[in-house]
Amino acid sequence: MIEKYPAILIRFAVYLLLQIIFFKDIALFNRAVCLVYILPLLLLPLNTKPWQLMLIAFAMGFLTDVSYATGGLHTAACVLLAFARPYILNLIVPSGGYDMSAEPFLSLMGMRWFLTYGFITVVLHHLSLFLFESLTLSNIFQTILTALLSSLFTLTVIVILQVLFHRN
Amino acid sequence: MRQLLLLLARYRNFFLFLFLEAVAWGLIQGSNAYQSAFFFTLTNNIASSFNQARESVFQYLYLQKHNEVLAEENALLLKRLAQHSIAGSNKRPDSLYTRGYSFIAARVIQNSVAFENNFIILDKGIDDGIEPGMGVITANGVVGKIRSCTKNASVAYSFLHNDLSVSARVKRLGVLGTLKWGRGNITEANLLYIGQHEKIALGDTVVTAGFNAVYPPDLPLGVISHINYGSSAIGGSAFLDLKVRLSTNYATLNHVYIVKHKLAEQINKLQQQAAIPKTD
Repeated sequence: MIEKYPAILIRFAVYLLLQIIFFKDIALFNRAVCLVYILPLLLLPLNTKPWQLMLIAFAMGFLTDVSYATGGLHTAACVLLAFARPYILNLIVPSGGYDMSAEPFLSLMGMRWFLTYGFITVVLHHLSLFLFESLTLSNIFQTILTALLSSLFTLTVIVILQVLFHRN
Repeated sequence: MRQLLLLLARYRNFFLFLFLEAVAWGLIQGSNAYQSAFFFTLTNNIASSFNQARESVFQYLYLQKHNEVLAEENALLLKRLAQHSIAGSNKRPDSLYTRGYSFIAARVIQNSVAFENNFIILDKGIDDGIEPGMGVITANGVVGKIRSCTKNASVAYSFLHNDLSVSARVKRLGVLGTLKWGRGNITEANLLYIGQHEKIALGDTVVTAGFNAVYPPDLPLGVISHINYGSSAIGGSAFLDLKVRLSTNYATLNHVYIVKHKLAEQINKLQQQAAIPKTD
C-alpha cells in the first residue's frame, strides 16, 4: 500500500491540473462539461478506508472549488461520491470477487465492469453537482439533461485516458 | 453513554460524511451571500496568481482576435466622437451632458459559461476605484455587475447568473422591460414584463434603460428573436413571451469596462430610503 502513495499523489495532481488548465474552458454544445478530475478518486485501491476516501475527496473538491470559484459545490459532490463508492463497489462485485489491494483500472477489471462502475459513479457525481448548483426544481429537466450530457462527455474522456495511459 | 459511544463508533463513517458535507455547504452558503473575507482572500491569492499565469500564456493564442475586436470598438468610438463634435461644436462642455459616467478598462482573468450561476474575475480592484455594485460592460453590451473586490482583483456576477436582471428598453417603441437570462442557451435571454398590447416586431433592438446608474443608457443588449403571443411561462398573463438574441458573446470575453457613476451612491441611498425595488 505504502509504495503506491507517490504514484497516487502524482495522479491527483496531474488530473487536477489537467482539469483547471485544459478542460475548464471546454463546454460541448455550450452545455456538456468534462469533469475528469474525479478519476483518481475512482482509481484509489479497493481497500481504501471510507474515512480516507472522504478526506481525500474533500481536499480534492476544495482545491477544485478554489480554482473554479464555486464555494463548496465540488466539495459537496465529491464527498458524496466518496461516501457512496464502497456501496457502489458492493453492488457490482464481479463473479470472482475483488482483489482488495488492487486499483480498479480498466485494463485490470475489464471494459464491461469498468463502464458500469464509471457510469454509476460519474452520473452520481455530476447529478449531485448540478442539482446542488441549481438548488431549485423549476428547471429540473434542463439541469438533469446538462448533468447527463456532461456525464457522457466525462465518461468518454475517462475511458480514452485509461486506454491510452494505463495500459499493462 | 457507552451505548452512545458504540453508536458513534459504529456509524463513524456516516458521521464523518455528514460533518464534511456540512463544511462544504457552509462554504457554498458563505460564497452565495457576501462571501466571507477569509475565503475570498484565500481563493483570490491562490487562484488568481495561478489564473494570471495561465492567462499570460493563453492570451497569445487569441491576440489577433482581440486586436480585431479592439479595432472595431475604436472605430465605433471614433464614429461617435465625430458625431459628437459636429453636433456639439458650439456647446460648452457640461457635466450634465456626460451624465457622470466614467469607464475603467479591465481584463477578464477568469470566466465561466457552463453553470447556472456564472462569475467573472477581473484584474482591477479597490486600488483602481472599483466597488461592489458597479456595472461591467463592453461596447457590445452588458457583461455583469461587480460582486466583491480585493486590493487588485474583483469578482463580478456574469449576466449569465440567476440573480442578475437588467432594465431594458425596446429602442423603436421606448417600452420598458426587464432582461433576464433563462439558463441553458448562452446566446439568448428573456425580455419580461412587456404588455401583450405592445406592437413588438422581430429584429427590434433592445438597449439598456440606464436606471440605477449601474449601466449607461442606450447600450445595445440584443435583438428580439422570438415572440410568443399566446401562452406565457407566467400562465395566461398580460405579458408577452419574448426572447432576445444577445449581442455579447459571453464565451469570448476579454477586454471589458467597469462603469463608475458619480451619483450612484446618492441614487442608491434615495432608493433605499424610499424602499423602491431594484432592477439595474
